[in-house]
Amino acid sequence: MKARFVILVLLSLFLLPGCTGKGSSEGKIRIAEQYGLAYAPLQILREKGFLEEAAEGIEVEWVRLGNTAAIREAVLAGDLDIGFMGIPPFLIARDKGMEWKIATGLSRCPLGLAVPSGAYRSLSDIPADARIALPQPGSIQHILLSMALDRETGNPSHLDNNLIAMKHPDGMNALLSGAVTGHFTSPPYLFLEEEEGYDVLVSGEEAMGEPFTFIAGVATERFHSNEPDLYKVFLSALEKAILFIEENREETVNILSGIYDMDKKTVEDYLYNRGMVFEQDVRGLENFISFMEKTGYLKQIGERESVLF
Amino acid sequence: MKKGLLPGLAVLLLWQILFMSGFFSPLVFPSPLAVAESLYGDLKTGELVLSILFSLAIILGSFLPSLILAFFLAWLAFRYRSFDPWIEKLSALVHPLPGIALLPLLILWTGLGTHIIVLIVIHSVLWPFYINIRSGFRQVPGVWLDVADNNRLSEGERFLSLLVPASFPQIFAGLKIGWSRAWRAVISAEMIFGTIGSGGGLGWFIYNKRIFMDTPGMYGGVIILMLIGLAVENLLFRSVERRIAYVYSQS
Repeated sequence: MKARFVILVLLSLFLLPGCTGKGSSEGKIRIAEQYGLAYAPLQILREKGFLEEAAEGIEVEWVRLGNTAAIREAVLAGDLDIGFMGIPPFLIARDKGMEWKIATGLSRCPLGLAVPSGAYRSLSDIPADARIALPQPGSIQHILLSMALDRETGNPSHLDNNLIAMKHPDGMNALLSGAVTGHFTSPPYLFLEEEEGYDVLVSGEEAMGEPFTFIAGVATERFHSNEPDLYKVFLSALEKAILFIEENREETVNILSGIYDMDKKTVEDYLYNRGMVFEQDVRGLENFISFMEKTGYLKQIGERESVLF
Repeated sequence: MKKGLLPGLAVLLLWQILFMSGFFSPLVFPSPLAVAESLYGDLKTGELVLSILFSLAIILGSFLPSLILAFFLAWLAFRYRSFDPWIEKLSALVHPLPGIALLPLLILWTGLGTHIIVLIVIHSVLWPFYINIRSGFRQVPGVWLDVADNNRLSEGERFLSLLVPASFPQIFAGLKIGWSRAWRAVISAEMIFGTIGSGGGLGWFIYNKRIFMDTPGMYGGVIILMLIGLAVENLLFRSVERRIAYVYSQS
């Protein structure tokens, strides 16, 4: 009886992957985003209908997912064409053989490790029993912190035993309540923590040693080859959205303050005065690849051309 | 065990054939060999064993306080009947709450640490323990209680040599339910809450495999979960159950 039951369970487990959506239908584009200021051009693109304007009859489906792993799984299930995420999680998936490449950059953004004001002078001051929150292992925040540690202590995993995986809002609450002594995060959480009087011990750019793309747009190879026109339309619509943010401050702030439920002054300040840059160039890719190869996150990634359309 | 061998092989074969049909991407559906290899690799580095031990240690560490507390609550409700409706109401209120829903609150109240997972597991096993022990106590025949009174058993003697043995089948059922509840709670709590370097339990193991897109490792983790469930059911509970059936058929 038991054996038969186990077999049933195993069988259902194996047959589940069969229930996947079949490839993209013609004239349809399915885009995944995550939540945050760094995705602002996508909100504009969506609200202003730039895609629908550029290609008549196009069907656009937007999906908001909580993390990169969910985006990857949706892509594998055949439910997405384009997803937006940090470069390291994309590279990890590419390394494992996922057939997708970077199509465009989206944003550069100040990242950093926020700590209580005056608590530490450098990373090596952080005591062995300290706790630091960041989104998840292999995230851009984790890789940047490893880079900074590598530079300062020579050991990229120096603080790994102190790292606790938490979502951004949980990490901020933990920092404010004193449950953790550091939070490696991105805007708006980093800005909010700075306003609460926390210091940025290491910034993303210091860790990386150069400006880098925070969020990039990744397209499946299937979409790229099956829908070359749509692919181009998407890129030019995104360019238009980025230009729109530059040229129409007031309307941008109006749209985004509604979406993020933040007051207009704050949105304007965060968007234009704090070092957020929206651009399609992809920066820092080589640096990410070589560091992640060195530290064993990537095994067979190959050259820059193999990860970029 | 031998009976289960043949169907098991058939499943493996079917799995391999499905894999070789090329119908699914290996990232979605890896071959059994890849899963076995990844399991072997994780066994060799000790990562898997440590994860399993971590999860089991948490369960054991939560079982003991939960059992003691559940016995105490059930005894209180039994000995002083006026407490009973209150504890019943408390259990009805709290029992349906998923432990994960309490996670943010627990962090706010008690800070971060492994104790969070322990607390969540305690929450998920305490109530089934209590409910079963209570119903066990209530089913003790009144005559036995009278006999205990006539023999002037002390409170402790009455508890240890009458209430507990008489309600052992219910207590055992509570343990069985508690075990599967604890197992579920520990895996889901570990998936939400983990330390990157020193790792966590089996839940964190599977979560990490997901983050790093190690699909064979993910399958491996789930299979290990099933195997442990099966082993505990077969080796531990089955034999105790047989013994109980024997003892109670004698009385």
